[in-house]
Amino acid sequence: MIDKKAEFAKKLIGTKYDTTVSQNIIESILDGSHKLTESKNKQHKCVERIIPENETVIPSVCFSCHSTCEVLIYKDKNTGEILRVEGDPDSPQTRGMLCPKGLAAKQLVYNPKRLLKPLKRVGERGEGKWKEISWDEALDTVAEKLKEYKEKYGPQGLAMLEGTRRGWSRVYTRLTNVLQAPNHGAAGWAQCLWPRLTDCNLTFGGAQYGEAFDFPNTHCILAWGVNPVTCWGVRAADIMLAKQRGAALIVVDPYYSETAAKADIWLQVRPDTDMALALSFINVIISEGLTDDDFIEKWTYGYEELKDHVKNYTPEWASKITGVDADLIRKAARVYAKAEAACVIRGLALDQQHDSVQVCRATSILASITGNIGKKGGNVVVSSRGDISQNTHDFIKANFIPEEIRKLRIGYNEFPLLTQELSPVPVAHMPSLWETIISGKPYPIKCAVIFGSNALVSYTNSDKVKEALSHLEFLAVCDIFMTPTAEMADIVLPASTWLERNNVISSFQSNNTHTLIQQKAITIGEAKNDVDIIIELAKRLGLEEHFWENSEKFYDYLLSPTGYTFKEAAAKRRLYKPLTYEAYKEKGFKTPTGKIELYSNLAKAKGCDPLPRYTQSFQSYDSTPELAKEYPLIITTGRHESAFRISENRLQPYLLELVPKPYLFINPKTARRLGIENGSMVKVESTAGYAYAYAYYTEGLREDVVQATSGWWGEYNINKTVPWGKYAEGIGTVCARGYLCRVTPAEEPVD
Amino acid sequence: MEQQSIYMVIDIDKCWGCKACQVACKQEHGIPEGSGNVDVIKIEQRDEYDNLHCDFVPVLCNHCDSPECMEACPAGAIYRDNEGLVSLNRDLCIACGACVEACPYGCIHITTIDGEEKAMKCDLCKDRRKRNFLPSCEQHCMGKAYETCDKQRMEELTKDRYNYRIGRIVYISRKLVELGKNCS
Repeated sequence: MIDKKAEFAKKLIGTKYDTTVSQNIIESILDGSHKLTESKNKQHKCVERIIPENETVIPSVCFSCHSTCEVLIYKDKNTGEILRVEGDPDSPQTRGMLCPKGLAAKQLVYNPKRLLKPLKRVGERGEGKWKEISWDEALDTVAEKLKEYKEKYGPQGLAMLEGTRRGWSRVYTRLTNVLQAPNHGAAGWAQCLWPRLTDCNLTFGGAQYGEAFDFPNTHCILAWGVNPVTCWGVRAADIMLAKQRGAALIVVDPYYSETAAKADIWLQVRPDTDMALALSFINVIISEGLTDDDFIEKWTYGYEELKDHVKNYTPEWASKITGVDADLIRKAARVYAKAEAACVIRGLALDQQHDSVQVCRATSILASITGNIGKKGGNVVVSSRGDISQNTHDFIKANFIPEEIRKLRIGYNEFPLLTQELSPVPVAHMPSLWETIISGKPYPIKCAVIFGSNALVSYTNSDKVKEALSHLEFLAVCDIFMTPTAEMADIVLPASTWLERNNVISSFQSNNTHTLIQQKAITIGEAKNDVDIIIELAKRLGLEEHFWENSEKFYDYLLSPTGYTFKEAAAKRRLYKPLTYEAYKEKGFKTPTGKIELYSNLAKAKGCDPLPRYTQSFQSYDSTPELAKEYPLIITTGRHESAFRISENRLQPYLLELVPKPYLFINPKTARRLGIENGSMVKVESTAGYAYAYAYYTEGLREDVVQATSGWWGEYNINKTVPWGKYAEGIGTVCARGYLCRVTPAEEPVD
Repeated sequence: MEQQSIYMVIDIDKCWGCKACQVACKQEHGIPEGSGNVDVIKIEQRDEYDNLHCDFVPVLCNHCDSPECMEACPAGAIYRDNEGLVSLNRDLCIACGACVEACPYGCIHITTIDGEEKAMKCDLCKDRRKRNFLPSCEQHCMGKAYETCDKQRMEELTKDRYNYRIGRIVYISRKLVELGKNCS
């Protein structure tokens, strides 16, 4: 069937392409005649949709990823069973769309592999023998162990870990802080979003300009290391609408991704060399006088230093490092700078490079010197809708930990941008923390409590993480499924899915203009909302004064400044506040100079480069030529799929069939040279370890680059190959986007 | 009474390749994992100037002007309905598979729904449309690549585009010069 469909599709599209539309957009921006047009899209018709008589609808918000799209959950009136989960056609945010993860949510909530009761280990660790216990026994045990180990080894002896948020993260952070446990951590924090947010803290003084986009009014979108189709559906929807209006799309990606395939200009950068590319953009813009001088003069600090700093970073220089043609770099930089308003959207690819915060800084500088900050159609800071933000040091009670204990935090001196006050959430450096668990140095860590993280899969250098987990004396894991990480635990707590809980969602990641209300649609087994689990733990630890009676009271608290209770807000569906342009004119920037710091005084004070500087990758042909003989290919673990979020969603049949296997994307020329057939099994080896994958031929990668998808469990977990030892300045990021590997044909691994 | 004829225009330039339509369709019609009514086909290829391109093409029942499945069905289960769509009456289907063989586009399949193993194909979500919903693929599409419409709107959308139709599905693009030219 699929063969016939593929044959038809191939015949249908032919092989000749007309690129006039794209060329006209680029040329009109360059000659100053570019105009946005109204899209030809069908106007939303207000018709009353008819719900079948036996159905009820619960409006909610999908939390299958961080995009948080509004949904309608259809239930059978009589049985209470969830029948369908659909997008909400009336949502101003999504206009009805929903990605595969949300659409397959019924297979999440009713998944036969769900954890439905608290479990206690009765066999050997990892043996898989469990006894069902009551919630009281489970929570009492976890609280007792936390107290016991805190008493025995001090608060620094507890590892309080978490993963992808399900709307509770900062509540858990608050618990760890009032428990005065300094070693709070997550797989993501030096690896995902935090480098971008830390950049915003340094450059803009906390205002998250780099993360907020005015797509509806933009003339040019610069998508840097991001493929929203697979991971940020609402943004992909917005980008397509912007394209329909005639906005240019420039994409920086080593792979010809879905987004790159729609680009007017695609810059195929060699992995982990984006800094060179960004610096050469800045060089072109300054040397060709494409800067917004008035904005620079009034609102930025350190321009003269920047100008001097980038003068040798020419496109010709960058071309040698990045592999991107110098003239193409010039063209892209000119289009971005000349567009009436341009908007940068950045992704994980920047966060996970060897110079994470600094390369993010380079892109923020790009937006600043072209005056695209706070401007209509540019990067515009999102206004608060009045509810209480969980993302403040006040909310998480960051300073509740006495200074002398804070200083015990693993990585405190080495990685100040992660562990100290400039971090969005001051936390421990995780690779160093895992090594501490193994070595017992500088002090023993024997007890860990993990919320929502499949640590064995989601951390880099996973074999080391496994070794560390087996060194623990007590491990509790709270999750939806029995993950490989939960299998290592003493106590397993069953968490509910997003369909089983309320939530107040206020995030620049989901929506520029709305606070959204998630509503509970069903109860499954004894699974609980993590917020309630955390509050119950807090009560047992004698810390209830810092919390609320339960999650419902917590949501009321979050909304309290708006004058609405959770119930009232839910009836309204969403709270709204439009974007405010040029907000800085009133408030300035909360940096030491009150301006955008192109030259960062805060970075300098922490011993980091005040201006982003090009440095070589930790492993590459140039920096480690001997190693490159043994490991001759550059690998990035950057592929995501619309069916999955990181290590999640492999258990839903509708999603797994979209991407049934862990693939290694490889250029056919490289593959043939190595004797690797399309679809065949390969072994990927690095200095850290090895993993298996199925070869996937694509001409969308350079011949010296391969790309893997992280998140697959067991022998296919590519994170096993990501090496530690060298980390990004200041923040401690592990470079997962550009290290060396060897790929060979292989037999299927035996589990 | 004859209802107004319906078309679905698919703008290939707007398909992101996210495959939400595949899951949306299966959920809507209760189709289990395996063959579905719609599949998004990825085509990565080089053009005559060696430039790389990658397109995503949603393929679903074309609702052909001359449907070969209808011709092949021995049970009379496939018919043209009052909207001009090629429809399937699952009650009459004997699951012989003749339509599956006959369809040149792989757009009709045998699947088990509610315990009954029978033919299945796209009906542009007739039930949803009756209730003023868009077809599930169209509603959930991340790129808004699908649009069900009447003849006049179809003509407006195809006017200044490369376009191709076999039946009620109309493919359009602003870049695919040979759109449909190699289909015969």
